[in-house]
Amino acid sequence: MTIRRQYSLPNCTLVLEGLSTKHSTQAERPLLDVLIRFECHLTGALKPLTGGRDLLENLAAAASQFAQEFLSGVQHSNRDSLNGRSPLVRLEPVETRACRLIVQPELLIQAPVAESSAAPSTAQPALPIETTLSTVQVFDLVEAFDQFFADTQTLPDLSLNFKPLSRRVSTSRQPVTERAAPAALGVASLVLASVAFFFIPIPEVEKPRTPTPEDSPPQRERDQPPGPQGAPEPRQSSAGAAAAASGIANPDQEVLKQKLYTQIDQAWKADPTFDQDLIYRVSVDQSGKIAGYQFQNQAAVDYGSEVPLLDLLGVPPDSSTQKPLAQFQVVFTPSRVLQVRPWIDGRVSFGS
Amino acid sequence: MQLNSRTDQSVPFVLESLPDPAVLGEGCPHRTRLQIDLVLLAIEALDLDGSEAMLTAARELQLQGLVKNRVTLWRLRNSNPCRRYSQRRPLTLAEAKALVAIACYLARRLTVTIRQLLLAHEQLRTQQLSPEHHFGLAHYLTRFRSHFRSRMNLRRTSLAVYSVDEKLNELAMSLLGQLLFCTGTAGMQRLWSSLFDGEVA
Repeated sequence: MTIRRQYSLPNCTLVLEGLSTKHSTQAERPLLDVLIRFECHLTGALKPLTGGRDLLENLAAAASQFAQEFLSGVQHSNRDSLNGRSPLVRLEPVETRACRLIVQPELLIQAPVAESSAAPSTAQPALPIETTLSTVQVFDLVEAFDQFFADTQTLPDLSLNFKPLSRRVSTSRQPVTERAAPAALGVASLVLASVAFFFIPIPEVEKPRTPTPEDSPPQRERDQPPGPQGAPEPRQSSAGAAAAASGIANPDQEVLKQKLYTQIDQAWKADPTFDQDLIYRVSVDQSGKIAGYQFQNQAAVDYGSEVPLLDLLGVPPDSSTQKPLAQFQVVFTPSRVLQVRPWIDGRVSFGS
Repeated sequence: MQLNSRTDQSVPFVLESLPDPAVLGEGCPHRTRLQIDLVLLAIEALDLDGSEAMLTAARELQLQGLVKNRVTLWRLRNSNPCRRYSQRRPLTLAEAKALVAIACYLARRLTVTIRQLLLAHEQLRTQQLSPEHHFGLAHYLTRFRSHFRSRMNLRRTSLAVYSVDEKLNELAMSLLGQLLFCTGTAGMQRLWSSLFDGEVA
């Protein structure tokens, strides 16, 4: 004997017909656990939607999903494609207060020819059925299903499951254009900024200038009397090594150069056995004595014993009594020619 | 209404059907707090004695532990960040559940009114008439607009659109539709779940 269950609301009536596989005499309402036929009568629709369990499940899921979307305003699934094809039952909002129900024909049973309902069944259900529902009608549809789900004596294996949409899913549901907007904005700002900066001239980097005897005499002469004590004192060699900078003013430098040349020339007795120039950077103190020297090439190291620089080296100045130092490049050539040139800031000045 | 008489329970009986969503951080998200308050605001616009009814509902639902008195209710509702006097306090899940239960309880009582107003709105729309042509609807919309403007901080950029009457009417009608879904058999679970759509981990 078939069991018939009906869930009625003003705008929607669900009718379920089925069988009970469990025989229980004491229960007043027998358990309906096998569904044979399902009908959904909607007011405004020409004929009821008739089908089986597939229709019931799809329609219930679509109605429930629509209700959640309506409440939260967050779209639950991509209506346009579900595994590449459109879902069998769709409820989509058409205006602010209404929605359209679309049911694909494969879910619907058309009454067989043998059965009663005559006229509408002759047409083949080639097209999906579309009905427009108002908010109240959708609610009645949802509520009819909710009452069915709450009924434990009808298809108890079906139940409602509410699960809030996760943050990740909801963001991926946003249209690509919406999600791409921040990135596009970022790229656009970068482009704008680069165009703007393109027109701004690149600032020229100027090396901080240290006062040197070569280029600062006017300032020095203005600021302080030219004298051995007044010049700023840079520093300073370790034992035997040449000092860093020079502080002796230009006129003195020429004198010192002469003194240096003379004392080296007089002391240089040995004939050169080297075949390339020996280059030294030599520091002299105020009196013209050699305060230190540095090798500037490998030959200068190898043949250092042939030149008299070590013999001429005075006592390294101690830090308390620092005297201004002048620096010179001293070159011994294989042809026994001695060259002495002022050394300024790492380069040799040929000017003076 | 027959309810669990045990009051020493940590979770009131009526809230047991609402699961704890996996929210990030402490308390309810921004949208949840805003939405609950708006639903309650729509109820107040429908029911002249709405705020008193909420306290009565709290008693009838055995929720005094969470909603003790008028001040507590005010503080819970003012956890809505869009309020003019928004309280910088979190809304715990239990408190949110209590407010949802109260809202659905009152919505169910107002089922007839809600349905009538929605049907009237539908009718006016098919006739292309403004909502002012229906007394009840016009009354609801006026009350909602005045409640909204007196309580919300309209200087917030997110609320700037609601300086126009039409936008507020749209919001009021949307909330009325949501209230209808709250009246259903599973209305409370539906509302509760929808409040966390897109907010859970």
